[in-house]
Amino acid sequence: MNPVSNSRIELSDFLASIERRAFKQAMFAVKNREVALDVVQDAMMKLSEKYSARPTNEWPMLFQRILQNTIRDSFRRSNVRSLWMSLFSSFVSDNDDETDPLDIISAISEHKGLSSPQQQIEQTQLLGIIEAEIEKLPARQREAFLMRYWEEMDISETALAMGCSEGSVKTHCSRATHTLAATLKAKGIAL
Amino acid sequence: MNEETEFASKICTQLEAGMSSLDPVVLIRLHKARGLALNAQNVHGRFKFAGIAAAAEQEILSHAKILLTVLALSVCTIGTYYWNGDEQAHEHDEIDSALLTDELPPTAYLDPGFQAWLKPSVDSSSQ
Repeated sequence: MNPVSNSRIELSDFLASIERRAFKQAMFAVKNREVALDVVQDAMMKLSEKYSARPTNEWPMLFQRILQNTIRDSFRRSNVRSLWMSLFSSFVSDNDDETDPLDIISAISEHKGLSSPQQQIEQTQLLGIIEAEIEKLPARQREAFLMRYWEEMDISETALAMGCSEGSVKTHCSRATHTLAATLKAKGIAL
Repeated sequence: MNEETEFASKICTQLEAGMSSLDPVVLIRLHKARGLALNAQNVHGRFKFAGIAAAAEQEILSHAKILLTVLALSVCTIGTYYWNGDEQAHEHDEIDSALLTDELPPTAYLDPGFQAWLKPSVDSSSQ
């Protein structure tokens, strides 16, 4: 197998492994599904175009850095984008999504079933509360928390991705964890 | 594992569980985004190689231009040097032959430069 196709497979596997979490991270930040998807796509494109030749062990840190920068860029452009969206929304057809129904069926089939509808509802409610609380965290605390604990990056990688000191990462993580613990406890949720 | 890490881990377990219930439309979009990113890698790679080839060609051309200019200047300088040398040698030959055959025009003896040139040669011949 040649190095190019090998690298392509590695990149594909890497992107597949992080895309869902990246989407959720973007959702926590931008709070809009379409914008979050665009952000993830942009971040993937940038990683692929500019950094795919870098060692694979650097990809998680690089992707996180790109993702956070893309989220910030999206915030900067949001005013202009919303203006254009409001101007052209009346011209855009609702049926412009080229999604194949068969794709949806195959995607649904990937869903893992929960043991009972009751558990499923409880789980969804709990997740909704946790996600809402994560959304409310200050951006830097949220970034540090998600990179450090969800992406399982070490402190130095997180600091590098966030462009701050390791001490700042520890502080952000600690504050985020304490805030989440306090708010969930106040809502009577014990994990 | 300390209390803080343990709590964070539990939160992330919940978040991870939520990954399996993402909207199928989102999953399809993510799949498409991944495909686009992988295609971008290939296209970028091709352009990169084409760019490298073009840059190398450009560099070689610019070097060749400089080399040709330097070569042309050198040829001109050397040519001019030899041409001047030939001219001077030819003039000297003419004067020498005129002196030897006593065919110098009378005006030549009125030239102070020629007089000055003749004097040391006359002195050296008389000694």
